[in-house]
Amino acid sequence: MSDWASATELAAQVRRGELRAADVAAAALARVANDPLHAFLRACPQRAHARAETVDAQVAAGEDPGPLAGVPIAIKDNLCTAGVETTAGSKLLAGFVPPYDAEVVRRVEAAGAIVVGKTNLDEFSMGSSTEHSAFGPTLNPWDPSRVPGGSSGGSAAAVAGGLVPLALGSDTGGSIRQPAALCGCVGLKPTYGAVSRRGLIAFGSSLDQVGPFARSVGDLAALLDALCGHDPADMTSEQPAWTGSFAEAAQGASLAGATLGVVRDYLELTLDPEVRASVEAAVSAAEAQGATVREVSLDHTALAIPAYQVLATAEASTNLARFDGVAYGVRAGAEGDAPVDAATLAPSTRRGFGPEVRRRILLGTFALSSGHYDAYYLKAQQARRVIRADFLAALDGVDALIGPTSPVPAFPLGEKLADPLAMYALDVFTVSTNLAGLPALSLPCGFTDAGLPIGVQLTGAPWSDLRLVALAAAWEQALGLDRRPGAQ
Amino acid sequence: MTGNADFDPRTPEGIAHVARLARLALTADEAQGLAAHMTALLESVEVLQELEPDRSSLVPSPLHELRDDRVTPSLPPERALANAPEQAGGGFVVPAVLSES
Amino acid sequence: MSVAEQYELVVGMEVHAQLNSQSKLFCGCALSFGEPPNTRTCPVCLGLPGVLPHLNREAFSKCLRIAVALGMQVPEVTDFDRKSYTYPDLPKNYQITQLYHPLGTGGELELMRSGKRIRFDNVHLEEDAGKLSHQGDGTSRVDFNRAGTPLAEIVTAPDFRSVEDVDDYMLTLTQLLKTLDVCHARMQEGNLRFEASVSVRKAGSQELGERTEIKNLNSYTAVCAAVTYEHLRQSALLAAGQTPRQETRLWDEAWEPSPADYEADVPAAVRAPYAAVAAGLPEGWRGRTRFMRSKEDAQDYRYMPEPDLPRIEVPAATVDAVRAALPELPGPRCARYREGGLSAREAEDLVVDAGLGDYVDALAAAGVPLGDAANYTRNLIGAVLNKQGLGSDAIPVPAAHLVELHELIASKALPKELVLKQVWPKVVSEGLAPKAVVAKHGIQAVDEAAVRAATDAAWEANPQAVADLRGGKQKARGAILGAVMRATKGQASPQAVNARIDELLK
Repeated sequence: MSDWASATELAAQVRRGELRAADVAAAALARVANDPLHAFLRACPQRAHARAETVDAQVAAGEDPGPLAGVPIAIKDNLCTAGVETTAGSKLLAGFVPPYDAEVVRRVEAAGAIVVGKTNLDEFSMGSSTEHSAFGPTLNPWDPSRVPGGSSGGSAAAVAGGLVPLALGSDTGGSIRQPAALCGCVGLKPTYGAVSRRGLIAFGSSLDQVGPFARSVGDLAALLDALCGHDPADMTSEQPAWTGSFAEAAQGASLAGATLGVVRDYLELTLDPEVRASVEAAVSAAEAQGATVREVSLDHTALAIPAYQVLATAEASTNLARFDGVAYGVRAGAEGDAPVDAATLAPSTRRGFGPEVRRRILLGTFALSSGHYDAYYLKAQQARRVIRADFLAALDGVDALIGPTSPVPAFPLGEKLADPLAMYALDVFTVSTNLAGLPALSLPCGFTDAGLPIGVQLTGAPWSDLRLVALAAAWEQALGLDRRPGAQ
Repeated sequence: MTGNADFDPRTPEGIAHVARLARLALTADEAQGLAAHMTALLESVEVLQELEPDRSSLVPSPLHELRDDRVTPSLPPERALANAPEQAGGGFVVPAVLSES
Repeated sequence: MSVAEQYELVVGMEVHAQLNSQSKLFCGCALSFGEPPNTRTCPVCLGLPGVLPHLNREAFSKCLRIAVALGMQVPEVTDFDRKSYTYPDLPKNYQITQLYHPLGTGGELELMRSGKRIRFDNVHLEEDAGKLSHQGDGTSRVDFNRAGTPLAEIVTAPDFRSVEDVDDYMLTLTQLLKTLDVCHARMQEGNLRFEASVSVRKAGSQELGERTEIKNLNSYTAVCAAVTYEHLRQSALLAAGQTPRQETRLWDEAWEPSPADYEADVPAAVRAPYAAVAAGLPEGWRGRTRFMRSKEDAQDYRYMPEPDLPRIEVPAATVDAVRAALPELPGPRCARYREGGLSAREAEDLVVDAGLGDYVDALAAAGVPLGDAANYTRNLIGAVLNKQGLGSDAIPVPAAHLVELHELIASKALPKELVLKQVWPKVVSEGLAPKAVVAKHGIQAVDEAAVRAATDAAWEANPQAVADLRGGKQKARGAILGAVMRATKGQASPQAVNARIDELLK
């Protein structure tokens, strides 16, 4: 029961009055209700119907319903939706209903999109497979015995699986790009500061960005135009330094004359051979379109995952400190018969965190603790500066760095759970861009013999998001992939 | 400052100390397992020690970008308390704190 | 002799001043005092998941003004840090504060009474926590109305050597904060919270002893009492051959001196002997410090730069502009009055009641000698304000009128008593300048012949008074004088009347 309509097409039809937003919403809600992938944690039918009515009324009255009018969109469950339960994939927040909307939710609704449901994620965005959700994993639309990637696995699967044309996710170390690659859809992590974080339940504050999922670069662009832009109430957001729209950038785009950089240090890392082959083929296709490829180096690649580990967990340990059962959150009972007292209220509430979250809080707490701050946190900040400098140097005269998004295609459920460090290693191609605050996009570039998607990643200089989208649009056309998951 | 700098998170006792700081309750088994995990993790981040620590930083913001000092509506108290696990008399109820922390 | 006299007192003070902006530090909720619980909150100050701080420019400016007024170094770039600890009244279980690059460092302040200069460590901007109230039934309730209120934390060097100096500092700082219009400075409303760090040492020693931080000081007298008590307690320890350890203590103002369980909750090695302490406490003393935690139990605050806030640049031009706009500070102002001949008490009063001080200054600027200006203000204006129930922010008589009054007196155009008794009341009641009052009511000094005649007439009419006077009772002059004043409608000069009485007595 999937639907492959493009978002831009849908919006055009709704704006022209050819389609009623109410009907589009109803159809999407029906798909959400029948979601075989467990991409969704819950639907929000009341909200969807109300917004759809508004859009239809605006169309009828000759008013502008917005560029995304009537397009169903799924929202990762770490983005606050007023009046709609928001759990961040955690038992601790089961039943939590925020009294406010995340800024990005407000923006997509202002553009006319219809929020139909909240999607599954690794608890508090900590994971690369969505298996760390307290509510059960999401399945990969191409093979339901495999993971969709994470942490935004639900959003990626919802889009790639034909449930909705658009979704929002968040990316701290690859959590949009990696599931996009594993699910065979397009995903972008914007330049840090391009999109408001207000209402995003924070994991790593200096690393997190909200970003879009779509099935085509054209659709991605339409969503980006609604999302990006300075939010004065998010003091880490900025006025984007680009001019023009993503929609324009995606049209008439060309790879001719573009210089693409291949990272020598990444090539030397362990890579699934099918992934390597697919990405190499994609690179050849780009060259055939007139792009030039040159080799670049990122000398401090080995520092990336360690620096990310320390900084992300340090920030997370403070961001998650608020979950103490005082003003919100599920207060678990105490162990055994002991009554919960003031000293045990927080620890007993925090038993609602899953093991991955607990691991990361512990590392982060340690990294900030007395006597260890200099050795861990400060050094990680220094590594971050060095990594960013590497990227800026590598990007000098280069439109985008290219390479595989993920070293492996979608792996079987359960395969990597026993070894957290092995799971962390999956982030090797993505974490650096969060550390450096750079924009990066994952584009489907091929399939394994078993039919699993493979993604190629484009990384750009700060505020080159429009350029990345343009390159991706041209590349998408050149690659001409046309396949849909069969597992419905 | 505290005289706590001598704990080692690669040991169950050290992990238990970090867990207390983080208000996480660990079972003895968990402490063992986590100590092992921390050992591996700390080994993997050892490479950071090659760097010189550097306290310099990023581009600052000008004063005019700060928020105007204008009052905006607060939440009605029912909405502020809407997610309270326990409430009474308009306040969030918690077990009594016997002494200041 | 109290054991405290053997040891030198060393005190440092920490103040949390609530800034008087309209809204909170990181959100637009109004500041509150006394509102029903949780009626001044929003997702940000409740610390709900997903919220971000939005820094209040006015609060920032007010803290900057404090830094500049205290002569502190202001960095070119300032930023914020997270200080982590878990407590129900702290919404995020971290406080956004400034550790690494506070708004001001160094600096000093001239105290009002002593003129001493005390030095500072820093001033920084941070958010306040909510309030926890105990219900007595095993539960507490949290009210987040106060959470997010902007605070300036002002930290001195350990420069105080006496309770008097501490009191002087609290007086001066309170005055400073009001003068700068950054804080209402009403301790009873929680605008100001003081913490004292107290240590003692043998006189002449240059080393600092271990200090005790004292919290829960809810009034100026509590601060002074706590410092006095701690001086005694730590001295008693040293005298007993023991060494105070670094501790945090709470002030318990209700304690009545009694040896029962005295310091039972601390190890014997740091337990002050009750007898020595009690011997140093005056009759009727109430209050003691109670052990809360020691250095070993101290919190690990795990400070981390605040990633949700940018670093803020503070250009030198901004600092210069703030400095140029500073009002006169209380210490120098007080000194100015003292040097101008006013008593220490008068000087202090005029600084504390700045409205009166401003009035005095206006008179002095127009040429009225400072002493006279102070007298007129205290006596004449003071009486008017009292009678009309007004504060010194609403003085109903323009300074120019008092200047003219003074000129009338100084020029001796009219006798002083006449001016004060006849002219002044009408200046107040009719709102006219003194010369206009004189013209309107035809007030004039009665000439010498008329005075003599009136005095003679009163002499004739009051034989009893005359007899008393001849009998040596000088007080009887009053009867004659009163009669003359009544007859002349107060326009006779008392000197002239007395001179005539003297003549008549001969």
